[in-house]
Amino acid sequence: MRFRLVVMGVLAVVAFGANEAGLSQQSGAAKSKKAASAPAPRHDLSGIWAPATAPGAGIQAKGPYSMPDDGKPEHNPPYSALGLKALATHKALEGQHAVFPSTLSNDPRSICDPLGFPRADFYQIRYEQFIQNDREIVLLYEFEKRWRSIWLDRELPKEIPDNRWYGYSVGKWADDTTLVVQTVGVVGEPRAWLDETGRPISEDAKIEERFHRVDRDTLEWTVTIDDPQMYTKPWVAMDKFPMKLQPPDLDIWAKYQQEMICAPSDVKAYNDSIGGFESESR
Amino acid sequence: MNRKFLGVSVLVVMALFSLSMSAHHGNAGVEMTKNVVVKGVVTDWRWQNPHSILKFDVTADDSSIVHWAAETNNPADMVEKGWTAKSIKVGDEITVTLHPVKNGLPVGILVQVTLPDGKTLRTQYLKDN
Repeated sequence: MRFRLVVMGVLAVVAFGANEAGLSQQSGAAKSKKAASAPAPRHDLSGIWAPATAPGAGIQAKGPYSMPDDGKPEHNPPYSALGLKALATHKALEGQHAVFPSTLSNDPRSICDPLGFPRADFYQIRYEQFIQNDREIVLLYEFEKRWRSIWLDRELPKEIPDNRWYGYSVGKWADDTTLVVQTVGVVGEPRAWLDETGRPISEDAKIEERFHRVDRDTLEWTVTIDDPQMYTKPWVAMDKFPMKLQPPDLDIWAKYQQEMICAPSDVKAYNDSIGGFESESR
Repeated sequence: MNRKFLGVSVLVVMALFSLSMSAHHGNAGVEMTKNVVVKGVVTDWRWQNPHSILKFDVTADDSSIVHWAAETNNPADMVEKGWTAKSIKVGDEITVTLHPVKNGLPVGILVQVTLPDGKTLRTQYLKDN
């Protein structure tokens, strides 16, 4: 059977308000659906966690949960002169200064470079698994199938042998249900960005994460950036991002059928078919 | 009209061979408030990151073939909407609704697909989805 073009024209005007709807930057667990939950266990973050408000709430395409790059002054990080200079060299695909066409972008993620840290916290937070023992917490990121060790039994290294994409992390319990994690020694400018909108991060950055288990089923995830090279003072990028505990037998990869991995051959197939189309003209 | 379709086909071929490595992108180049509906035959279905890709051929009134390409979300997001890697097969006769690119090429962002058995699969881009 031969098919014909049925409609070439515009059929309808639709509102596009739900893109990555989960991106709604709601505040904290207070706005998540509250159900009766058992108290948080002491010194235990283990489990599979997912964004509490919506599956896409952790995508954060417009920037970190609490600091989207939307032009509002209160969402503008306190850039240093060097930070602004670095920012100007980044051609991001998202945010208020996104480049167009996309072929102009120099986002390292587009060539499948690792997100690195802390960008791993600010892009594609979906199902995240915490595996814990007395010595460490291993955080398994769904996106890119990456993992970090958060050591509980030691201090940060006095000297960094070499900067790493996911840095060096140690955690200390601030109280029965709050773990404070310090990370240093990350890969920074120009190889790694802080977020999707091209905000910079330097290799001298210190990143603090606070994981507060509000109750058995709710975890709040806060991230503070302290990077004197790029910013004049520390700032909170993600404030109490709510995560909900998932069933322990959840098989993420069985559910999704495929890992979320950036394969250069897949990117090539995408670019050959779709990407860069904006640069063509009739 | 027929010349128009022929022109589009030529442009698509040119585009496929001239695109430089770009990237997973924002939506600035897409008419996100418009829908186009076309019927065609699936030529390729890639369930992949950063976006799955649906290619299909549409036969114009003059019998020329227009090669369409539509991107969708990544598999993780598609699963949430009821899709699987095997939702679409090469050779399937489908009706596609998509947001077209602004430059008029037969490329767009997938909104929904109606399969040969009449079942409709939607993406997050459907306004009431």
